[in-house]
Amino acid sequence: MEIKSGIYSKGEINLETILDSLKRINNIEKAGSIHTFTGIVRGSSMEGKPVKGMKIDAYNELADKSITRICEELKQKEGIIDVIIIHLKGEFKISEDLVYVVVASAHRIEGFETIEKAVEMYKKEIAVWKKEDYVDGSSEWVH
Amino acid sequence: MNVEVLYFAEFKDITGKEKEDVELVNNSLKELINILLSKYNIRNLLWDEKIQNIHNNISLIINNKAIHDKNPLLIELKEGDSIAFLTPVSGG
Repeated sequence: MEIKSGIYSKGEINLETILDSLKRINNIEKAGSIHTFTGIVRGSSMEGKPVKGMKIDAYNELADKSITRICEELKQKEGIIDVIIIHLKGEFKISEDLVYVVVASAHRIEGFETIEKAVEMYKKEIAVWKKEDYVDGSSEWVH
Repeated sequence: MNVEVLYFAEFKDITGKEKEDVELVNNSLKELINILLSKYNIRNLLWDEKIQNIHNNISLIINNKAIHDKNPLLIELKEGDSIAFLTPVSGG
């Protein structure tokens, strides 16, 4: 089954499943590399405050639309075979996976460029919010 | 007339709800905002006293589409419309 980009609940999907699905698409023989980015929960905030966990909320319908648009736009570039963005939602502990970005490309150069673009785009454009739970018991939505 | 309001992030925390139906008489977004401001402690999050309007950093979504009207308070709502007020996004 081909994996669709979008918002998934924690535990619903993992990187192995995505790679397995990608290897089965019709034009995968055109690819010479697969690039992956996994966003995980860091143990400290941007200001250095110790973090114990994170909650991710998402507006699924809106986020799915933006993710599809980003993937379709990036797939237009020559040499890009497929782009998959999966953002998880739910409650997460330190080091657990939050996001997967996977790019299959004919050659490594366009693959590296595209995965960087995909990460920058999803960070700014999709309707997802994160709340950091701190070790001191407080918590905050990060913007 | 009823509309559906969807809550995310801070709005979900404050209201304690993912969504709810709200009954309107005048069918305007202004009426909906007034009802929500009187019902929940969301004034700081949603309302800019200086400009007497929704904060500039809040995105208004109606039926899964972003609305960019200059004065959103004048928007007329329809039965069954789904409305969300979004704070700036922060992907993981």
